[in-house]
Amino acid sequence: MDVETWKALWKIIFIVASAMFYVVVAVVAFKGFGDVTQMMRNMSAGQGASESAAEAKRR
Amino acid sequence: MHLSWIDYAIVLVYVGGTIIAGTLARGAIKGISDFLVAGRGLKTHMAVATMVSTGLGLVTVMYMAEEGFKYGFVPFVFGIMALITTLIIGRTGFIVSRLRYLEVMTVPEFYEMKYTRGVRLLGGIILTLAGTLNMGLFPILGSKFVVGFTGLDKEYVNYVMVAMLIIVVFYTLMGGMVSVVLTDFAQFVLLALGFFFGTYIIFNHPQLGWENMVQAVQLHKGDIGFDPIANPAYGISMILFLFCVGLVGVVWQPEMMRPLSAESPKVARRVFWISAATVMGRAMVPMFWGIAALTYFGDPDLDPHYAMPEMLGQILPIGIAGLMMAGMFAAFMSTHDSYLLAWSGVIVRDVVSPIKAMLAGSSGEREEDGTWGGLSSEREIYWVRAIVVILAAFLAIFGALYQLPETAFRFMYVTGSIYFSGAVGTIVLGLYWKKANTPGAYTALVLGALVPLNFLIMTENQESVPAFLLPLVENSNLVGLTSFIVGGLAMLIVASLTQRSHPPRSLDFNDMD
Repeated sequence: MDVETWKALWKIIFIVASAMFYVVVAVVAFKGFGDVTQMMRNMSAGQGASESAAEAKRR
Repeated sequence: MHLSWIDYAIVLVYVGGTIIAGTLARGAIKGISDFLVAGRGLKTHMAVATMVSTGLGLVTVMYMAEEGFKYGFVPFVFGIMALITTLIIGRTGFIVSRLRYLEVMTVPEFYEMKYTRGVRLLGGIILTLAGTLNMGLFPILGSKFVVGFTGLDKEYVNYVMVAMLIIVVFYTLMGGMVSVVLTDFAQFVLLALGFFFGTYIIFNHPQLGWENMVQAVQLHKGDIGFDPIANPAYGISMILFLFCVGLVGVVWQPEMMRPLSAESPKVARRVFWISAATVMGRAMVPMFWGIAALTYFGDPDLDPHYAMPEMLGQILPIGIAGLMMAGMFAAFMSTHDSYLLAWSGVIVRDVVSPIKAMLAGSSGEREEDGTWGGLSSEREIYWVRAIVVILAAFLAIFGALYQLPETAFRFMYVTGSIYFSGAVGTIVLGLYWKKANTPGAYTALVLGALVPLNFLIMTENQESVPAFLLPLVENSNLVGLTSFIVGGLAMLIVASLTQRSHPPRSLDFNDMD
């Protein structure tokens, strides 16, 4: 492959890589927020991490 | 100083929030499984967030940027290999699903299930050595970023390092993995914002932008700044090595703690499938910043560890600079907390506790609370906390004194190979080859560790290295590849020869989802 092809290829790959990164971050941040607040709520109630996990499985 | 009071205020708010979250998490710690694997209750999206945060530490940003600064666009190949290997793991559950199914908390714990307590002890010692050496440069590189970015005098680099370590140690001691998960989530969002704004401003800066950066790489590096096959520092050997590390690298304890903390083997696999979409960006964005630093200053002889943060400090506007600083501080903390916890967990559970169990003559059965007859759950937490403090002190001293052999990136990969190479034989073959046995595991661990250790020693004493071994000193890719092959072959040959004298233990995965 010649150098000009590499230059064009890296540009496309970089744009695709960045787009994939930001999309996944946005989706994970949105969906994971509920899990984080639940975890904080359990901690405030004095529940241990294992107890919270066991309770979540029962539900 | 490049930053205004607004930027510092943003950083202070973030650090304060982190300390509060860490303190709150203390209440969630009732036993060692809460402390080390957050009670094995992580759901998919939280697990992805925390895994991405750990994989994207400030040290990663620094050494990826260094690669971009030194080799142009060629290191982008690292992102491509990471994508391929993460997709394979996400699709097949390679290693991660089976280890999660066995409910181990540390990787060497698997050695006691499959082999013997002695293998676990040796594996724990090697992993500790590799892990602490590998982490040795993390704090100093993080500190160099802060000093370069803020424009502080370089003589403050060691003080900044110590201050940052103290903050991380504080909240990790408080809530263990629960603290790590909570803070990682905030860090994940901040990091992404920092990445986005940093890249956007570089793209639109009059001196930078894609075309200017391509021209700068052509000027300073020539064609080998674009072609990974032709570049002597990369080439086929590096690409193959990256592929092997990508697949086996999952057994690295800080990486493996996320799948082991997941609520099921299925979630453990799914975490990799989703996070695969982030791995290319995680590698390429910092490399892009490194190339931008080369373009901005136009001097390839500058220290890249300072050049990239100095460039960012100079081009980012007020407010965005604070956000970036908080994001990079987050990156520093998200890696250090996980690594400190991971290595301390290994030292206590796989070195100290097995020795105590041996001395007490315990049977070697796993108890209800996840202990193995050595230290009690409470004592394990106590010792993990103590070792976190000791490790942090060691890192501060190591970072201040050690000089790099090649680039930080290569140092990380070679030190990691001390453990990875043995892992090919002991973990991969142990999980997927029924004949894997104890003598094979001992041989794989020892021989796999010797090749990269030799490299580190030979690099320090090049004048006494025989001529026929010099290629191994000059090319760390060859060292990595050789050690993988040696580790795998050691298990295959020795286990095949000792099947009768040491029949292998079988593991049952039939019920696994």
